[in-house]
Amino acid sequence: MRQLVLFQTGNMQFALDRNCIKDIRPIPETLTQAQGRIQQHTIEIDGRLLLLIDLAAASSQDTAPAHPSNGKIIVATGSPPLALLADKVNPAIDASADQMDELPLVFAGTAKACFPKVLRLEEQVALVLDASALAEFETSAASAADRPTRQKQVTRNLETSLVADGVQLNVSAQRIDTLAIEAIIEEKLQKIISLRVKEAVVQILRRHTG
Amino acid sequence: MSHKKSIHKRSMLVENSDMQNNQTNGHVFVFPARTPVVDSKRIFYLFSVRQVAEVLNRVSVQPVPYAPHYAEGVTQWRGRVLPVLSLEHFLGIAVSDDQMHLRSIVVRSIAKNSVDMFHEVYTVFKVCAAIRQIDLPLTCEPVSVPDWITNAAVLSGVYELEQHLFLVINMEAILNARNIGE
Repeated sequence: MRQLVLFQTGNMQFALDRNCIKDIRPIPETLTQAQGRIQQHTIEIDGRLLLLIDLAAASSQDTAPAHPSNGKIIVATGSPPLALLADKVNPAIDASADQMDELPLVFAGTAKACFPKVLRLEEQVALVLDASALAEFETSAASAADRPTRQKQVTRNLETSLVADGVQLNVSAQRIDTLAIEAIIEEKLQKIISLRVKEAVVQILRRHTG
Repeated sequence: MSHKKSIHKRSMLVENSDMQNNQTNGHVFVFPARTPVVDSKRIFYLFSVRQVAEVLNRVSVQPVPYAPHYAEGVTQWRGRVLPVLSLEHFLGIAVSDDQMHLRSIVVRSIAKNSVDMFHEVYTVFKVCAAIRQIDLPLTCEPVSVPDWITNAAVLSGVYELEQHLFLVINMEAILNARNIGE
């Protein structure tokens, strides 16, 4: 028997092992006033910045509106720890192994890793959440989302150094990725080379023409 | 449907064994797709009677976060947890079912498990409510897969009859979608 806490977010129902729950606390007012749902926030809990995940926003099938004012935040243990938004948290239930099925194989990858089991209830089902797998995935997703910002910074540094070299850049940094950085470097080098060649030609011409 | 009357004109070409089995059984199910008319043709999915385990009026679907785009979620049926999949998303055609009455069909197929044993697997698809049972043989022409279908691998065949296009679904490709999807 496993003790599972059932919680609802949007139109979806999830089950989380009671041993994986560190704390359940009220939802901050800023989130209940938000217009729509956002998949990933950050929240400071006990002096530590945690990812706060809204699973309803992670599903394209779920079109539930905003969080209710009596919503909760579930702080899950794990490495790294994670916070989950819940519109409603129900009391824990005892669930036996024969009440649980594997998530069908068509749900491969992240879905299967984060929700390996499905709990059969009377008329519906709840996805059994692996909080550690979800934390791992969302943390790597957050790092990936942060990458363009870092690349932008690299480009800004590059621009500064090249402008200091006396060459003006005219690059739109709307979407900076590795290829764009390579393109910028190539463009800059071509400009520098052509400028140096021009200067050299002018000097030679001056020398010969006086 | 008008084509029900014109059964004996010419035999339908069949490509998969399920269809051949059901020629002996004598009929197939035809399910309208959840999509508007494409190229002035109404789209239908064609399944053998043996493939269709049940037609359900309403199912409670639990969406699954991070699922592939063609997976609408999971549901419970006769004590089993089944995937609810969208054939329209598999095929890359638009879904427009706001004004449509829908049904869910439970489709039975055979698959190999991890120890190479054959077993029955069930999948749920949402379709329009105007379901028909058609006697075989059916008079229609096999045609090539239209350009607007982006994933031809999930089809075993396409047949045309007047303003109707019948798509025969390759369930093996659907069940192995985890290898080709995402």
